[in-house]
Amino acid sequence: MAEEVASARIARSESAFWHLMKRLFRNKAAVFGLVIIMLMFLCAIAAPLIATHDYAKQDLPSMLQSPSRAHLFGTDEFGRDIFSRVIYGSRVSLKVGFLAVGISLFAGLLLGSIAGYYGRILDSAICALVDIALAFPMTLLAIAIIAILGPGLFNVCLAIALSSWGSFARITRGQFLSLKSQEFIEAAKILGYSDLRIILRHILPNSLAPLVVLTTLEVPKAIIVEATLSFLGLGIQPPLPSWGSIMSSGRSFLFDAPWITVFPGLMIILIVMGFNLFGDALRDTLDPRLRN
Amino acid sequence: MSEILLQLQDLRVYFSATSGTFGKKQYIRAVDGIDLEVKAGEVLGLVGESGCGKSTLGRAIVRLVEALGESKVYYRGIDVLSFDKRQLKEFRKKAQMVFQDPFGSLNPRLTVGDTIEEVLIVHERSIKLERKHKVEKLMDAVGLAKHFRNRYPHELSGGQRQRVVIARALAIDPEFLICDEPVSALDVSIRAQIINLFEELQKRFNLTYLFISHDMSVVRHISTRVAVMYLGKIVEIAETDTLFDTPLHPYTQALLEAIPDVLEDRDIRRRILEGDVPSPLHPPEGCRFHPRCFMAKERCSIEEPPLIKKGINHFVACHYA
Repeated sequence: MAEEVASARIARSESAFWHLMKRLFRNKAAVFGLVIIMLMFLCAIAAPLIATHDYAKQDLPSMLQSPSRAHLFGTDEFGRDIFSRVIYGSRVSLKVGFLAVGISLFAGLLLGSIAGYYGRILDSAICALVDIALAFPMTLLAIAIIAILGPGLFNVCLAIALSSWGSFARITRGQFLSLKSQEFIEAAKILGYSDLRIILRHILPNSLAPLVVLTTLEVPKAIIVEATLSFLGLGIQPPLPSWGSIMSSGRSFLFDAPWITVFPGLMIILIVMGFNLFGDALRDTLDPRLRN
Repeated sequence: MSEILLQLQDLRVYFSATSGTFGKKQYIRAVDGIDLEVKAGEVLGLVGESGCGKSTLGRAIVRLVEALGESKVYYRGIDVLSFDKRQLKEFRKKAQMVFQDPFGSLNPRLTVGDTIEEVLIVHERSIKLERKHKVEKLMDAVGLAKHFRNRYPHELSGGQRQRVVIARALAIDPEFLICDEPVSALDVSIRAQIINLFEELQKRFNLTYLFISHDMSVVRHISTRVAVMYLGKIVEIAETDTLFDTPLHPYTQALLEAIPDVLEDRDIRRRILEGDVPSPLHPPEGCRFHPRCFMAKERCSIEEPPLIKKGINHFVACHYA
């Protein structure tokens, strides 16, 4: 009881943000997810230090070797070290994940804000656009866009962003609609504030929570789509290693050299699980109905 | 007497309530033809049940909701409804609004100081030090201690929040304040403090209030004149004492009898209004109050009574008053 009172007092004196962080870190799944994400970032940043071999160096005499002390994850059909390729592959996945979601977040915020704030014909037009974008399966749309733009890291990001901005726009619009009728927005209007000021300073900061959650849940989706595109040869081009392309190259040796496919596959599972666990926990923490 | 600050002529606000794309066009007549004058320096109380359109009336004056075409709102003789964006911004420096819900009317992400200072940033070309000084002066005027400057709204009580809202409204030196049920959401003990604050500020800054409330005792305390609204129309308007001593409209009488009174004899049977306010989608024919009126006669359901002068500054819309 005394402890409860004490913790309540502390919570009040702290800012809401730290209070939230504390609740988040009490959630084991969130911590687990965050640890995975951190490890992946570490891999990507410190790739040259962690990798045991040059990821692109071919060593034909030692091709298709099973995992050993020299090659932790084995080698592929050109004798390249899978471990090093997988480590470097985390760079591609994280880059694509964040760049693609970054672009779609920006586009979604912009269009969602306009639709939610100004309403009427702009709203109808943007909503129709969102409906169209969301009606396509993400992967299929991305393939179609890559077919037009051509492969490459940035084009992959653009393709993913073009097929996923719709959900950001929709959430933003919803947030704007519910906040627009709040009295502090009406007060801001009467006080003569400009639309830009009302949107940027009064509505946006109050609508970020669900967008943060959506971001953490969209990043793994983007990573999967990138892996899919690379698997199909439409994404990252060799010799740059992407988990999807490594898996693709290993598919003809699936029975003779399964390690080529298994390790990058495990990494994809791990990173997606990390983001999803963290995103889910974040959503639960931010949802006031689940607070206790 | 004193100058007329605000004049409403046939103010109408209808909300479209069409169901579905091909549904029948319907309108909620929230405010349905109101003529009203607010004199400079007075406190005009506006009372009525929930849903009678009193808040919409306030919002229409500052153009938060748009009035119908033939409506006129004159502020110092100038037509507010014809203002463009720039003129509207100038007008809103003169007319401000205090809202009912002190929890919803402050941005939860801004501190008290930031909330008040933002008004100054938008409307004045002043340096930071001047603004800081003015924020402190405003906080002092509404009775907030200096250390609340860095507090967030969720750390404040309802009364303190309402003080912040008032300080924010006063920051652009308005001359006319629309108070939309400013004390209804507050505890009874805090209510008196805020009412006193409103009175004090009115004298100090020479303000004019349109004070919207459903609480008769609050309105009696603060108003110099009172208008009673029922279903989008004004049914009676008079000086405060006149209205409370000799109410003429049966609706006003019923409202006054509904005020609890500790000194009253238990034996007196109150006339309690039966039923709800009819839907503003389909207001009753004739006098809008006739379905609930204890004096209603046949004429009331056919002919709509106009607002007629019945005494000095006393107007009533009833055939039999």
